Amino acid sequence: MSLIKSMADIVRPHSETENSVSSREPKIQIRNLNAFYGKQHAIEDINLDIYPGLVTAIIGPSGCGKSTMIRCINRMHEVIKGAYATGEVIVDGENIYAPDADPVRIRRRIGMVFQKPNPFPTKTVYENVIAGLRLNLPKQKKSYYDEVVERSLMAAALWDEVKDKLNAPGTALSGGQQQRLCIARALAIEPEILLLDEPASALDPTATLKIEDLLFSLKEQYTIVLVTHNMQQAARASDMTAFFMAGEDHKGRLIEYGETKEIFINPKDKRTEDYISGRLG
Amino acid sequence: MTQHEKFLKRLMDAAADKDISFSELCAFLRRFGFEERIRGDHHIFFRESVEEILKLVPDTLREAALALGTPRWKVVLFIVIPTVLPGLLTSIMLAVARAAGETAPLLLTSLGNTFFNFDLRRPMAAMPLQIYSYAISPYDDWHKKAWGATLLLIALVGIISGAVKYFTRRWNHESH
Repeated sequence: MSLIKSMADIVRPHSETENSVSSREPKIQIRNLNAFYGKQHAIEDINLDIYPGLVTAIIGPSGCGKSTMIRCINRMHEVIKGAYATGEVIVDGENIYAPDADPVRIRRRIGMVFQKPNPFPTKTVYENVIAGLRLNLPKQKKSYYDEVVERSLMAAALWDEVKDKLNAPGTALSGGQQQRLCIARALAIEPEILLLDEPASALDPTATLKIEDLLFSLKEQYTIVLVTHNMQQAARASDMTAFFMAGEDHKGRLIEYGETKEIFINPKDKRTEDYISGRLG
Repeated sequence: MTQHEKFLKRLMDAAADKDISFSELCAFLRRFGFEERIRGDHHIFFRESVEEILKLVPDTLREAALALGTPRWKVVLFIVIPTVLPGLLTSIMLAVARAAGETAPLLLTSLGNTFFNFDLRRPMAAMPLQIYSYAISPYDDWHKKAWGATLLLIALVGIISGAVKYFTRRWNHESH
């Protein structure tokens, strides 16, 4: 129990999240979502509402399907050979799994940051930031790109560190900087939703804290979904927490979902409590 | 000296062939990045080429591009190919060098032509083939031309190799 208590200390003081959740319209509604890798059933019957302006964390032991879950939100799951999903993910009232939905267009509205920093090695810092614009939108004036680069790098709290080396290769930055560069790259296409799949798992504690502070400053503008295996991180950085777990049959399910504070201090499900107090996973 | 260095020394000393055991030779080739496939008593060594080099691009990079809402063909054209360009050029250079040395297949495919020809359906001149036919001719003058053409062929392969080496090194330098 002492562990749970210490977790409660980590949880950020949330300013009226309770009121705001009930008053907010969900940005993303996940309905009866099932995801498969070939014959393997990875996650089963997920129903989840994700609210704008908040950081929603998905936590759970390894193999519980949390990465699969987040990749279903921008249809990146199906990029893997043999992978597919059924059910609905409704973003702003539009089902992105509708037969006529175009995954390429959907991904332009939903930014994603991956576990390992992955800047394009042949591109400079500057080119990395505008990569999404250059690849997918009509060419613009240099001044426009300059402005996007500055704005995105500022938003990703990286501008001061790299403003003098915009022409250095993206891979020349440190790991933490590379990850923030990837966040800037995702922000440059002005998404409404930002998905982060264990963005700090390859980073040291200082870089991790920087990313968490960054999420805090970004959440006003974006709907943020964060997958993490680090409970302290979920407690520190998120407003809402969804706990996933796989059963004996290796199918991941949503066990409990609620305000981070509630999940960490008063978990309703025995399994959530066991996981949070470190007895599980 | 490591075992490998000792082996290399023996090989370069050009001592008798029997000094080099088969297993050593296999290990040597594997060290050079050749893949080994054993079929009965045949040991087949091969090197991955173009297609495999394209696959070398980590999936994380493809995913990064796809997640930005990039169609697949653009991912290949603007992300995958530029990333592997040095390796790709090396492969192409190796293929060119290998093709430049081929003569026998040309006897049956390009057939040779003493006139200039752009029509793909007609016999076409090929330098190795020309060298071959000049070299077996009875004329001293043609022999000289064959030697000259040989030098030109070697020079061309050398220039292509050198240029590719230069550019790949520069690109590698820029991207690291």
